[in-house]
Amino acid sequence: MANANWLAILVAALAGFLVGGIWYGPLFAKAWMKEHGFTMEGLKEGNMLAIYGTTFLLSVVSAIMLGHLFAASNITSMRSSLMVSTGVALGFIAPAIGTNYLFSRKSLKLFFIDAGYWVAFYAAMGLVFALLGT
Amino acid sequence: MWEISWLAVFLSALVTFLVGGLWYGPLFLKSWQKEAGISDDDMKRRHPAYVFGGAFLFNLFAAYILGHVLATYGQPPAKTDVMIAFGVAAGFIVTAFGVNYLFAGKSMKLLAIDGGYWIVTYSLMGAIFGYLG
Repeated sequence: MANANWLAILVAALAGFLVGGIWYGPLFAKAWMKEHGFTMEGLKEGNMLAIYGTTFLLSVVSAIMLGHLFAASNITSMRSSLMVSTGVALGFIAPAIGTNYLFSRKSLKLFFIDAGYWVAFYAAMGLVFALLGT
Repeated sequence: MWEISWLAVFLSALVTFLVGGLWYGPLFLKSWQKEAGISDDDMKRRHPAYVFGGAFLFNLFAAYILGHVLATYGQPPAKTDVMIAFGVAAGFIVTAFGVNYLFAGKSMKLLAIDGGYWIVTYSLMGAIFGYLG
């Protein structure tokens, strides 16, 4: 862990952040708000600095964990990096969100938006680690 | 690498239900409903077969993927399996939920309840694979 590639970790977290801006922006902002029943006025009441700041921190944590997984399993090629990172999102995160949304009566549409985001997010992180190393 | 104990996979999926029944039952049901904003009427809205059946399939799949990940490390001691499973839950699942909940305006309390569930569940799944896998 001491010789983790901190540059790659930061870039990976940033890449995920950018994916979020597009996914929950021009792509699915309206659909996401509709499924949750949010309004623009309601959303503006949130503490943007806290939300985005903490999100970035959480992204860094997940990048550290993915980098560690890659290093521990000697995942270096583009192919295995993308396979493992999307596998993490599809195999662990999506089922957890899916289970949670089934019980909290969230829609299938919201599941696809939110689970899909993590697949794209992790694919982006996998790409960064493949290019920059762990 | 894909030779996984199907018994361990099935038991792991079962464990998510056993823990779920306790966690979202006597332990945290009321808090969860309050934090998630789910009324008793909301709870009636979806057919239980769809909810529980769907959840079982999701968890069966996740258990299988966890078994696969653990198998790629050979035969680590049970302690290591638990550590890896815990790491998956804490590093991947709880961070994802954290981000989703931040933007959806959900409380830290809800994250603690839902995140805690996955950490406990995955740790137990790791133990099951450790002793049976």
